[in-house]
Amino acid sequence: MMRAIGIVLIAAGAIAFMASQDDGVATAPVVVEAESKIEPVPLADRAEAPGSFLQQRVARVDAGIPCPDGTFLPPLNGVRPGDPIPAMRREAYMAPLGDVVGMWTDEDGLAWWVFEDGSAVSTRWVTIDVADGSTVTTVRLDQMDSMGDGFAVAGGR
Amino acid sequence: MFRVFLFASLSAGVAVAQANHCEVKRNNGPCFYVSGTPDPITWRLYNNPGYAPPGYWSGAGVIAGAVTWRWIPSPVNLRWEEREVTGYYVWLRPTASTQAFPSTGYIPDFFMHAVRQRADGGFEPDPARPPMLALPGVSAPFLNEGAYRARSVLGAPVTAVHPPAYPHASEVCYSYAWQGGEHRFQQGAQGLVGTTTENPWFVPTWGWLEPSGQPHVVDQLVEVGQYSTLWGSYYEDEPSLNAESDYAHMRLNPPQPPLFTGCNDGAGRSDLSVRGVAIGWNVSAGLSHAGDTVVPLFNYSPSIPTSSVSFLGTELEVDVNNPLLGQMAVIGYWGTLDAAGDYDGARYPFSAVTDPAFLHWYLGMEFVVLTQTGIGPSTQSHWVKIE
Repeated sequence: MMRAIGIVLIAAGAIAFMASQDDGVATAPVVVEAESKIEPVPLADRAEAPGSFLQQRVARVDAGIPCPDGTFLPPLNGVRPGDPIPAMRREAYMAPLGDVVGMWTDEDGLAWWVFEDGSAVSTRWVTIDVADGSTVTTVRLDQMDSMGDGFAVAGGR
Repeated sequence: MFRVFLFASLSAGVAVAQANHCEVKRNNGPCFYVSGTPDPITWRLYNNPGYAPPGYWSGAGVIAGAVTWRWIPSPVNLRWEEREVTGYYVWLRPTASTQAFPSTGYIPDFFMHAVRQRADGGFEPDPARPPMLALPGVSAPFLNEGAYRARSVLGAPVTAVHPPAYPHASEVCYSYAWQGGEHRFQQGAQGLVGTTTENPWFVPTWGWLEPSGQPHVVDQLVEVGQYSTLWGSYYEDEPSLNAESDYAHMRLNPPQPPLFTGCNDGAGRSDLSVRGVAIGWNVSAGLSHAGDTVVPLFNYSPSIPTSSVSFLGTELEVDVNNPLLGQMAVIGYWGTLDAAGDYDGARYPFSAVTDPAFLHWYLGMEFVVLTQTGIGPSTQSHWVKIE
């Protein structure tokens, strides 16, 4: 009897769900375009020294690094807006990112966008060696979320 | 009968979303009953100031090339699919508030390892095997003092290639590599963040491996109250299910063998035979499934299934032919994935299963994603043993 009730409820729910949906189209898969690969800008071509911070305001753009609020930031280090850039992500327990306040240059001469709260994000092209001997070339997004010390502790991290 | 109804209601469109790239957190941490007093000055690997395990701190800090590893007890993908990794995350902290900021740190290299079994029942990286996956770390900024969640994500998944015909094929360790010299008492260094004061799981899940291959297991330090849980894991390219409970690590110490293995070591073994428990299941399906609906499949089974069931083009791990399937519908546990592709289900209170016939059975949960045109991918299943 329990099983029968369950089955009916599942089926009814499924039907109701299907009926409530628009004729939408599933999100298109991200396509990796190997020909668009651009090497990161080497240190020698950048004026900023490793560890330097340059204050600047950066406007959101129409395409680039997908931000949690639905806007985009210009990609960095040779990555272009049309490249397969992973999205930034903030968990529910994290505060909004805020505006970009500057650019950080890391030890490898690569640039990071820095946010009001001290978080930062960067992009670059990478080639990953796979254990089966193949390689994967794609865009890598690195994100440093500044969390302070008030984050303890509810739920797995 | 169930299959007929579900076929009838969902066969208008089938399995359209499996190719969508996403990154979802594989969270193997314990949940709910974790706590700790933040140390505002030092990073929080251990509770006891001044304590460091042998071989870890001798004045020079961490040995360069050592990796901090954690075992993932994960025979979770019953489809025997290789893991498609889309990145990783780990919590970091610069060591001292007196150092100048901004300062330069690093996101450590990430590895996945084939494992060997320890005599105490846990698993550790097998140094005789090359890593299944290696993702290089990068230089990264610490703009302020305090902890950072470092997150590195790829625009395309990378396969973690497991050695063929290898024992313990369903067990994995992942690790983060140290550059060397780091320690909590060392200025200008960095550390990893963990939870410190919870009660432990009973098999080691966190340790570190010296470049020589010599392993050290952190969790055994429970005897002196030094247990900690690493905050870090990896992202996969398919929806995943992460469980949380109100009993994780708490009421079964020391638990009884045999070992439980599952996608969340904290919620894997319950004392549901003697008291009610609360379990929550959180779905992470990736951005491409934002707004989609997830439907739970839920049943009891005398054992964890060892194979999957093909259903409308989707491989399911919970058996849709199981006569106990369907109780999930009574729960009314459907959910909608949010803008990030997540669904954090409420904790559901289960009454004690006092019928002795169900002792040592498993309670299994799996969610199926319903896209706008039909059945999408499912999460892996998660199993809770009834003890």
